[in-house]
Amino acid sequence: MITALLMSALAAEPAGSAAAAPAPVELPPLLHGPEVIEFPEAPYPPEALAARVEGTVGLLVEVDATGAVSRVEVLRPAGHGFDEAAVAAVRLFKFRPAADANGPVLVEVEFDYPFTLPPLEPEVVPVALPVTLDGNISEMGTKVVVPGAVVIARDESGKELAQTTADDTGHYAFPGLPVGKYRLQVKRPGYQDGFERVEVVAGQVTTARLWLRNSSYRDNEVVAVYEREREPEVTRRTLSMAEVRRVPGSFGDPVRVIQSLPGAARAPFSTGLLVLRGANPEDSNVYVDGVEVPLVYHLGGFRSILNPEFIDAVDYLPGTYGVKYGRSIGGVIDVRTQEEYPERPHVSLRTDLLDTGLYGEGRVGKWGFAVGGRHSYIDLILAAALAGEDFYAAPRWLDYQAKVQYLGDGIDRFSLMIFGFDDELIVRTGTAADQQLGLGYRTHRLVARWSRPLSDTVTLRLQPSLGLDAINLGFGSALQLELSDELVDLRGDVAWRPSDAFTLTGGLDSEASRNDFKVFIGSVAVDGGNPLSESEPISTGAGLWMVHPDPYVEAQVRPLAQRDKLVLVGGVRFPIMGRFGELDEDDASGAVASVDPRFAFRYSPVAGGTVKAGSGLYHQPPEGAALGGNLAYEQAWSSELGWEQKIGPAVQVDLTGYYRWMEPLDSGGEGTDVGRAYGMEFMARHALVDRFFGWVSYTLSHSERNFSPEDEEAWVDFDYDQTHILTTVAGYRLPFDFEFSAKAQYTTGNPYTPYSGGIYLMDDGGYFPYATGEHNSERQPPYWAVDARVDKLFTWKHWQLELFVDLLSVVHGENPEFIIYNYDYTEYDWIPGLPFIPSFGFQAELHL
Amino acid sequence: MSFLLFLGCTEFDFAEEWQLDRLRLLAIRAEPAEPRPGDFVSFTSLSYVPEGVEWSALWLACVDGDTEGCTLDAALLDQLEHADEMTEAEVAALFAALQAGGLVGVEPGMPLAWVAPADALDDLDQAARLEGKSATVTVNLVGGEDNELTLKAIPISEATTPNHNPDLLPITFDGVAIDATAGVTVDAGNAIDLSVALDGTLETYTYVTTDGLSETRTEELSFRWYTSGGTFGGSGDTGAGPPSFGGEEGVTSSDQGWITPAEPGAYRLDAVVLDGRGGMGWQSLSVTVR
Repeated sequence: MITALLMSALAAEPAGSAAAAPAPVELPPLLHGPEVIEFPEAPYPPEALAARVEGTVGLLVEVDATGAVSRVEVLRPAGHGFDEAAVAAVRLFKFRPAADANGPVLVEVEFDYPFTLPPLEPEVVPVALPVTLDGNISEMGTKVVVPGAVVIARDESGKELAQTTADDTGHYAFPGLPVGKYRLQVKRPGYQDGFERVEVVAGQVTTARLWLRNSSYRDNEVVAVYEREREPEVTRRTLSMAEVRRVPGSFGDPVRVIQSLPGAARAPFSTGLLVLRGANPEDSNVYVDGVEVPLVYHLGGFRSILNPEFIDAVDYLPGTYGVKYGRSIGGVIDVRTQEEYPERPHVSLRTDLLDTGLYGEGRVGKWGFAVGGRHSYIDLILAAALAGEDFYAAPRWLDYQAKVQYLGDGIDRFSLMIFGFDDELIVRTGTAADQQLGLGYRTHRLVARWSRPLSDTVTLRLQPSLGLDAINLGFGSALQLELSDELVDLRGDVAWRPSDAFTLTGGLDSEASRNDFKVFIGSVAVDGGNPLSESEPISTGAGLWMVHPDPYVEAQVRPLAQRDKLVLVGGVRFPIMGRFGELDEDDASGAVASVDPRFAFRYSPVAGGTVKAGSGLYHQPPEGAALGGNLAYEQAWSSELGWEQKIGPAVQVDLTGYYRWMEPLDSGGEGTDVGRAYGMEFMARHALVDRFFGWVSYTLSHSERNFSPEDEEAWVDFDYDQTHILTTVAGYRLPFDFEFSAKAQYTTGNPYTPYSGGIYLMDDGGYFPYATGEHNSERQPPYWAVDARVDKLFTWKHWQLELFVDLLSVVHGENPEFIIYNYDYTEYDWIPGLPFIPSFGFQAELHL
Repeated sequence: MSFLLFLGCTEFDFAEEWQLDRLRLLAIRAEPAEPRPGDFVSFTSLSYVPEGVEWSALWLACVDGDTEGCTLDAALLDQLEHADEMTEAEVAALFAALQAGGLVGVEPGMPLAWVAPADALDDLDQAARLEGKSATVTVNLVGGEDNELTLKAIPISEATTPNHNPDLLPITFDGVAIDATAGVTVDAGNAIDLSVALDGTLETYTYVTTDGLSETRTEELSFRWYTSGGTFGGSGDTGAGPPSFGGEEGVTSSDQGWITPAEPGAYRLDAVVLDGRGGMGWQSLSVTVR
């Protein structure tokens, strides 16, 4: 009844007038008011109950943008303990926040909280009697406390004998229930009725734990792929784990879903290459909580480097991002780790054909913890399946993650995290032992984070980290290559926020690394241009220090009274690159520096509509600089302009145009190449409403390179240039915790250079192709395929089990991925894309 | 990985490199194998010409060719088109000019001869002349609808231990040497262990490393097998696909499994050896399948 009254009170409140303390500006209308989600009912004050007094308390409730009750004020007190009980209960209410065109907003609502005496029925045992039956009520599977449930005690014939209501801790009690056997029925909206048989024994208090099954566990998950945060980036697409774990083709990995979003070209063979807005794959950086890592996917491309449950969200910034990020001229992916820890420890086990992962999280005192790890075994499956084959490729990976976080005083925030992975890829190209190609990647990071408000307006954040990256490459006795980087990084910033309208941030994004390499090549031609050249073994090595102490400063201005209506951001980053050490007894030291101005703005002139724009300069060290290569920055100007529009409560549309000029590029080691990429990105998303969610993503793009910039006509298509990239994702939640989802994708084929013959190099024993067209002048046939996924969640009292099948290429168009030629380049064929691949697996979750 | 995996698992219907099914130039042998500047060099070749195909080959040689080999002066080539309008003396002068410009010969009908330029090593110091440099022989073989351009390196040096071409003993079938002049008749679809061995011993030579140290090296041979019928990869072979194309130290013979053609007829079998220093040799066999 309380709920009904509350809902009617909220509904009756005009949306526009619900805002508290109206400012002297015109506010946009609310799209919807606050909607109560959790409503623990106030216990009837014993004093009032004993006196058989009823009352109504008039309250003013402030609901903030997160849906929490931030303030309760008694407008019309009722006395007899009613006021305190009502305030205490309302403080525990949880809401879906009210929202206007710019997103969730803080509102105040006024309503009356009535206390009505329960009817005096003969069956009801007087309150004064001692409790003979009690216990707690929990949600099956998750063990979450269920408050406010009604428990009815019946006899064997089904006749109702007594009724009670659980308090906000989920505890229920029956005073004076006589000795005997009872059938308990538990009822609560949103849950299926629960039943339990109990026996009350003379002289004892019978305790029985009762369970309720949620009508739909999936409805508790948020599906929102396209959220804009209060960050200055023009285009920041944030993926939360719960949103995307069931997108087909992602294998439950949120990072893989990026490839279904605008701006990302399709990676061949699901390898996960990051080609963002026409930039080279190596031009985009990947971070974990702001710490750069060399790989986002394990070797093979099927899994990202972190256990999905360790991931809280993934920030995808394809283009014009702020000064916080640097040393890349492409896009940025920042994987954010968990920062919320359940009261009850939670353990999960996930396994499928590729690997098995274990994850646990919980709290110990004022500390939260999360720990996880995975180990693959696809190499063993492939070894068995391909036994006897001359050609054989097998990846193997393991990863680990652990994090502890101080949850204490609300002032200091501190966490310590360690994570890493160890990957190996073995490719056997013949039967001899020295025809094995081995590739190994090892990465470890230790990250500390601390933040503290220094005053009411100044906040300090520090994030030092240590790291180790190592790469080993070997080909039998012919080649051994070892690269290792030891890293000492420091991120930190001081933010001064004198008012809601202005924030000034000064920060440092510093990376220092010791880069060592050793190489042994068993046979290198002394005269590389001569096929008859004598060969000698080469063994060499070196070590160089690289430092990138990049400072930055950024100002954020929200000049209008409605702060989110107009946001202006301007910043400057100062990229610095220094190298120290000797190479072949020559001094390889040197330093370069530059200035990266960047700005962005967002303006919402109409309800639900926002225009956004940004532009900035970006620098990155060229490939090989740390090994003694060219010490000069690669550079890009990136700009974009777009419009976002919310249409109704469920649909959001985004249209963005972009342009990126890249000069110089260092692909030839000389730093003379240039590139340009431009296009348009469109996304329309339907949030989860009435069990349906989905989105349509379309990218129209063109990316080119010019390897002879003096010739303005010498532009050629970029290797991964895909003119059209269309992706649709749709999911539907079926009853009984079934879910079905599907993804369809169409892309233009990648460019390639056509050959129609070769020159026979008799001494080498092979043919050197000669092109019959310009570089990348032909295109592969287009790609299209449909992936699907079906899963079902089973729930028992103590644990849950999700069974799933990911169907990769359940429908596909015989997609060619790469062209392959015969020995003399007179014939060609296409290497087909991945065929139909079903991936079965399960995830078991245990709540302790 | 997924790309590599599917590349390995995917079958392509391509002609194999060892299949003789079109006009091919398989080997070139210069004598001497490692001429000194000013030496006269003659060439022989091993080619495959499908029955009924009329062919021609233009041979060029040069010391500093580009990635597509040697080229002739375009003006001389223009004059060559009008040779039938010239006097014998003019033709002789034109050919002399062409030979000076790198013409080795034209097949069929013209002997393949070339003089290693006397100044070929003039830009090298005395030590470097021992190692020498490579000239490039460029052969443009044309016949029917096929056109194959081949590049072959010929070392020119003042080495104290100049290279010699390797010679092969006759091909053996299941260990029995076959007389190449008589040919051999085999059953269709039969598995035969082929072998071919070096006639003589591996050469040793002196090599001065980039550190200035002299060391004695032994040639590393590599073998190539070709056939116009049947398939390689049967008994006696370690795996499917083309025969060994790599060098292996100390190896003086090559084994190869061969499944004879299913259809009766006349076929060819060729074994080619390379010594890694520019020298080549071969054995060919006519095979009748019954």
